[in-house]
Amino acid sequence: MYGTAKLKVPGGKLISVKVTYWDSIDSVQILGDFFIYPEESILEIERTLVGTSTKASEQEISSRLQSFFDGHDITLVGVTAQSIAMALKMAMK
Amino acid sequence: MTNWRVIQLEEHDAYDNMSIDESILEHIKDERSNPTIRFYRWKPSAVSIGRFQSMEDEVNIEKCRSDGIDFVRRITGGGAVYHDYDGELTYSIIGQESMFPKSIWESYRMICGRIINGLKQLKIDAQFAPINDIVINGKKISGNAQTRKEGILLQHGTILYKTDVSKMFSYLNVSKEKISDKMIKSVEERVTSVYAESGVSFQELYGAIMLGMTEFREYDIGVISSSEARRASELRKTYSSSDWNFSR
Repeated sequence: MYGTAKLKVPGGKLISVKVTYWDSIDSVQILGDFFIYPEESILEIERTLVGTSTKASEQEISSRLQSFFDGHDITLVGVTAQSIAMALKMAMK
Repeated sequence: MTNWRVIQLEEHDAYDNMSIDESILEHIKDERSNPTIRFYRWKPSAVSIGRFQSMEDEVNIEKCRSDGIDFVRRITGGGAVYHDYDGELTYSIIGQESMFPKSIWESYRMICGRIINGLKQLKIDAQFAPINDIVINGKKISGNAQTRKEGILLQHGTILYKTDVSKMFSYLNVSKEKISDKMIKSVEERVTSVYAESGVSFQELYGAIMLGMTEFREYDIGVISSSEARRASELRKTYSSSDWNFSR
């Protein structure tokens, strides 16, 4: 299945998610006018979401992302782990 | 302390503009160039998109191609921008991260503060609007985007000189509902320009922003070195490639 979702992060930027999935995420793209440092880490962020169960809660996805950011010294500006998780869940509804 | 290098206003196409910025970043990292402030225009007019945007989602590619408008993906995040040749001034500032506040937010504030000081020369009272905008009474007049790589900070941004919202929308993809007259009016209400605010010439704007960016800094007027130009011509291959521009 394929899903997309867009949301405006309160006080932040626009985020758009495109995801292919069945029981779990096969591929995902996180798009938008936000900032992520270092920029190259976007691909690793997307890779880390592959395999996530579609049943995972927004909070579980958000925590997983936040741990990844903390562990890899990734800084987000205008977007948050929570907002990415929220968009992802919206796209898989 | 090393003097800044100021590269005076130049005109390049989109691919050269982005290649030159990255080449300068690399040369500063290798200590082969001084920290640099650069001013440029886009010839032909162009659309640039942020690092994390989709070209196909954001840009009316067919319209750009038929009108000879370049389109390029930036190294920096942020949003899609229509760079009208007559409608804006672009700057970049590139130097060691240690020359700027460590906090991304504060470094935006500091660099945008210099643009705001420049606009004050034109009797324009602008304010910093976090994360990365400058506004006048809530209306956007400047957008800015920053990256940091291997200890070097690069920020580029535009100052709107004259804005043609309907032209801008013809090159950016917005849904048909959004391009209605009502939407254009609402964008016009949220965007302003130096000309609308003060009626000054483009040269006066350039002079004011030059002053804002260089005030209290030791600097020399310089040019792009032959080594930077050579590297830029290599980087141009990436910036003009479909692999890069349509990578997302």
